Amino acid sequence: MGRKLILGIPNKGRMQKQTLEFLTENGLEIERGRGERGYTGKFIGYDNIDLIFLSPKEISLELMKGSIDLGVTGLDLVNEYVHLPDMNTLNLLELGFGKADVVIAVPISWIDVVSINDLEDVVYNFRLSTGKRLRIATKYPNISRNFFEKIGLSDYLLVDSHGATEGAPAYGSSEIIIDITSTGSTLAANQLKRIDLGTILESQACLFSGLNKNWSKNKIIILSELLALLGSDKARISKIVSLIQE
Amino acid sequence: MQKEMDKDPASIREFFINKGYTFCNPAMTIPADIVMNFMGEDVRNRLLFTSSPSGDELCLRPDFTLPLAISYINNELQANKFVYDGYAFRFPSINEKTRYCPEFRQIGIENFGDKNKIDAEGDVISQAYEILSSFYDDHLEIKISDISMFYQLLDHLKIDTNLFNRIRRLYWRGLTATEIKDSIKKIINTRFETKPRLDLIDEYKNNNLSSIALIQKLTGSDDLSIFSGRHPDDIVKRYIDKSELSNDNVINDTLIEQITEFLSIKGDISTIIQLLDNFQKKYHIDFVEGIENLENRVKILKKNQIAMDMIEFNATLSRKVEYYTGLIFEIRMKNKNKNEPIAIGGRYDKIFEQLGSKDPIPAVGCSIYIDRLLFDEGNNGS
Repeated sequence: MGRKLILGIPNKGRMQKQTLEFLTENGLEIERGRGERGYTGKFIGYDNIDLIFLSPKEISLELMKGSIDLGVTGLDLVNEYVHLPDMNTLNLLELGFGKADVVIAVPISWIDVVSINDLEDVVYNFRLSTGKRLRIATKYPNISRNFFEKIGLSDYLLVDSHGATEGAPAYGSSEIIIDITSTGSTLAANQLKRIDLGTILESQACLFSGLNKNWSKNKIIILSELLALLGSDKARISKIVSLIQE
Repeated sequence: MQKEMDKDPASIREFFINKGYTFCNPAMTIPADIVMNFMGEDVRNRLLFTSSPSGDELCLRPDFTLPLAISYINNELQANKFVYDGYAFRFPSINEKTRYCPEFRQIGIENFGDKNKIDAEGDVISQAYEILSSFYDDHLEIKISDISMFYQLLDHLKIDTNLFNRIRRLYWRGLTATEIKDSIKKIINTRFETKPRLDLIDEYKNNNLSSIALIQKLTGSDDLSIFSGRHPDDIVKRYIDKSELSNDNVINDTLIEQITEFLSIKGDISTIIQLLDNFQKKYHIDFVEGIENLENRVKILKKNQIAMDMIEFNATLSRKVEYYTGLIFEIRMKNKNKNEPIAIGGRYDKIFEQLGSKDPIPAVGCSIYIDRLLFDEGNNGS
């Protein structure tokens, strides 16, 4: 592998805009190779970091594979797409934007369901009375499965949903949903509500590193400098370095 | 990790055939809905599903009792006592150290229809113990319990259905008495974020308010159209049940105390009768039959030369399937409580009624996990 550090940056949308703003605020100006549409770039004045523009999902996957060293992406996507995220990636820095929660949402009409404990009863009774498992629409099957395994709930059926998940109960393709929400207004507009202990993940944009064998001494020095620029203190940086070297 | 066995596990099958059990090979796949209704949630999470060309969901057998019972009730079997030997399918749980693959070999026995229940139970335990002793010398212990006493206690406490089912589920998960106590407390204490609207409940009970109207008033929205497969009456019923339950803290405390105290009952078989008797007197519950059954089972074990210090009663002993109704037992390596039991068994008298039989058919049986039997760790204590 090369001596340069490869950093994945979101290639579109609000997450890209906010990432670029964050970097600019910290004195890092980006120069894109071959103009605005190029998928590579660098920080002006820093020749030892290569930038590559990818979708946030791809950034999560490439971090795991080790083809990029660092990447800005959502915590939710790392938890969904990376196998054993704590073993394969390291969260270096929370960036404070792109904040949203991955939550369980049930119909507002379910006045008896206030917490996950209620939901457990309802899920169980639903199977007994209908002979079917309660369906949960989500684009986060892995996060959902891990959560339910931890609390010991089974008897549900995950239904794949990509886009407009909040509408699934309305057109009858699922009973409840697991989705990302920030203000909750889309949930409310679709007659859904959050429940106690039903927040699975508090997500935001973060800077991640992969935990693979590509970390040469040289790269670690570049990483330390970058983290210092982004405001991490010395103690934090040496902790990160020791975790990466493990 | 596997030990060279000087004995072939197939000798277990032969042993049972010589004891009068008929060898049989039950169906490999079962309709998924039947399995879902019989297995506990722990097993339901680990099933292997497939679908038939017509789209029916099927499940690879997670154990042998269920397919055998289905064949039995369909009159496909000519005997009443069976021995099986083959593979069942469940993804391994986190705790299982003896396998990584979803298939595991079980050899076991079933005794269907025997009305001399206690004798049949004593025989099953004694025979399983006898054949396993030939693999382990005397390094085994028997843990024994009776789930009907626990259900009797829950009935006695008159708790609402949801909580009743919930406690049974916690119990099936095999939690300790303390863990169950903490969970029940949590469930009761987090029932409402705001106080239930007793005024609206009264109106509803006096037939002045429909279910939908009650829901609309409570949510402040009059255009609700999404109920996700639940009838408004059911939603309201559960809301009212909850409000009544969370009202009475005193009842809740004694309830938790009694359940925890019962589940803490364990010890040598010589001391246990006294402990159970103390409990029934203290809480005015009738355990006479349960205690007598326990004494009679132990008598049979004694007659079959099983030393009394090999037997322990433990009220938290539970099965991860939901069809057990009375005796539960397991045989495990002595002083190896972290290891999974080598053999488990018990009584499941309701299984046939749940499968559609008009008359109850007594059923008792036991399964030996061959992967655990062959697993080296426990065998030589390393």
